[in-house]
Amino acid sequence: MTERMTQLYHEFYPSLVRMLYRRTGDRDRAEDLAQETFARALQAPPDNPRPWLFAVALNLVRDDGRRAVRQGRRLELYREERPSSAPAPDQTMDEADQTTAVRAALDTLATRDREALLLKAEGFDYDEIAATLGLAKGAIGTTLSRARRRLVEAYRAQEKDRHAAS
Amino acid sequence: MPHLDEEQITALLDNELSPADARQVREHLAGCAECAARFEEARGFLVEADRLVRVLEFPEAPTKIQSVADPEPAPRPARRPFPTRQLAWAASLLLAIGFGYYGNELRVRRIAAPESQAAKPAAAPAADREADALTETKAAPAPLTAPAPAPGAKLESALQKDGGKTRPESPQPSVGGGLANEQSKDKALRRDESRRATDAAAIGQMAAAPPAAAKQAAPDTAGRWIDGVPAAAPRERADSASALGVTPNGFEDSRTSPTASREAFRSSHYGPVTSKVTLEEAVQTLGGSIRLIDGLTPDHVEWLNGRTVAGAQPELAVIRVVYLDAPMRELWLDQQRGKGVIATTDTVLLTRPDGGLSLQWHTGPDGWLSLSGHLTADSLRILARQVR
Repeated sequence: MTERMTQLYHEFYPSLVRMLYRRTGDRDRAEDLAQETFARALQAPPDNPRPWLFAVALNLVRDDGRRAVRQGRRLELYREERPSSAPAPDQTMDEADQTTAVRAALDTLATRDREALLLKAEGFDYDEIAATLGLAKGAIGTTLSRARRRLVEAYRAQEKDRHAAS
Repeated sequence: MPHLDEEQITALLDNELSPADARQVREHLAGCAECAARFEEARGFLVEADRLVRVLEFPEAPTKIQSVADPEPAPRPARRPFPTRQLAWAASLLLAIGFGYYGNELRVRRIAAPESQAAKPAAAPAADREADALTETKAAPAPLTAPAPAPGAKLESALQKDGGKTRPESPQPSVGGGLANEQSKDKALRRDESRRATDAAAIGQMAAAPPAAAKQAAPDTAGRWIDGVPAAAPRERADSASALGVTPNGFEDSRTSPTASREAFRSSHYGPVTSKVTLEEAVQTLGGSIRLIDGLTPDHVEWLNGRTVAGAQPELAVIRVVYLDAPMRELWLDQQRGKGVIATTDTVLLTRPDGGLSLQWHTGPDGWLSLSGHLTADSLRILARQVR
């Protein structure tokens, strides 16, 4: 492995796998997709690695979408059944509920909006988001604004329904 | 200038405008109530959306870094170890200086301890002792809790290391040695229990503080953004517990203000605050997002030089989110983000010179966080799990 690829690995792998986890909701799948992304980078080392890596990763997610989501749900259920040394049961339930609610709210976003939001959370600037998603830089602000608003409104609506039901 | 569009407002929030464009947009916001309201709304959505995304934290550190590229595991790159030992020595040196300087006060307090504690109930809450300490405090800063632990060590190891001989508030050897040891152990247990109860109550009070009503932001005459009132306005607040809230539209400084006594207390214990910043500036400093403690309402945000914060990267600025609890104690959530941060997987617990504890950890390859306050380590860990 070249020194440059090693450097790219250590520099971008944690951020990439975190973004993929937020995108897919499946830890194992996120790691697998991140590895596959870097495997492709080994075959054709990119000049502008950060947007390239994340663009490839997001394409892999889309290509693998439906089957992986179903598989991810089964893995999530299995993971919840396993005993763990987590903190108090009510705290775990609250955290799990919140995670579920946030993920459901995120799923209500359009794909591009969701991806722009996740890339921004990884510290991408507008130029990088535009390069990664193939959008015009002048549209990134509007995209992010729309994504943030819809995410918050969807989450609040879910919380309102949840509290009304309880 | 016509009304701002969504792109301009969002770009300003994300620090994507050139300095000239940013200045132009700010000038427009200063004179346009409609655009200012839209700006506040957008900022609120930014803060909330960022908080929600961070709920989806990766469950554990990624482990499959090497498996694709190399069949054999590669040696880990050399990383600078977290300077725990150096920080412990520095803390011990500062504590030693502090002990030497305040030696007279501590001696007076210990001599008075057996008589005052005999008159008090066995499980006197820590808050009572702290209230006594506050009334006795002179101009120079002093620990808020009982006398500080032995220097140069974490709180827990200090209590273990000295074998109970110098436990805080242990009575002077005016009785038989065996009875004194038993009494000191019982006292230490009761103190720990009461301190945990006080911590839990403090956390509950911080969480119960109601959020502020939304108000429009306005700049001061120098063009610097201050939420609510201009920076020079006098600040009066009747109740320190009704801390400022993070509303959907961002921080509010104008709804409540500290009393003069609280400001004097803060100045004497923490030094004058000269680097308050707005939430927007803090978010920009951190590259677009800020971490907050879920369920608690911050009081204000500060900007500090990395060199002045123990454990922080000296070259990067530190953003400090300050929370208050009822006994006029502050809880600090310090954070850095940037390529200068050297990440480790360790979580470190440090003892501050004033006797408080600081829990420090890294988030990802470029983020550093520190949670500090006069709480127990367990309480800090509980709060750390709520950082989003």
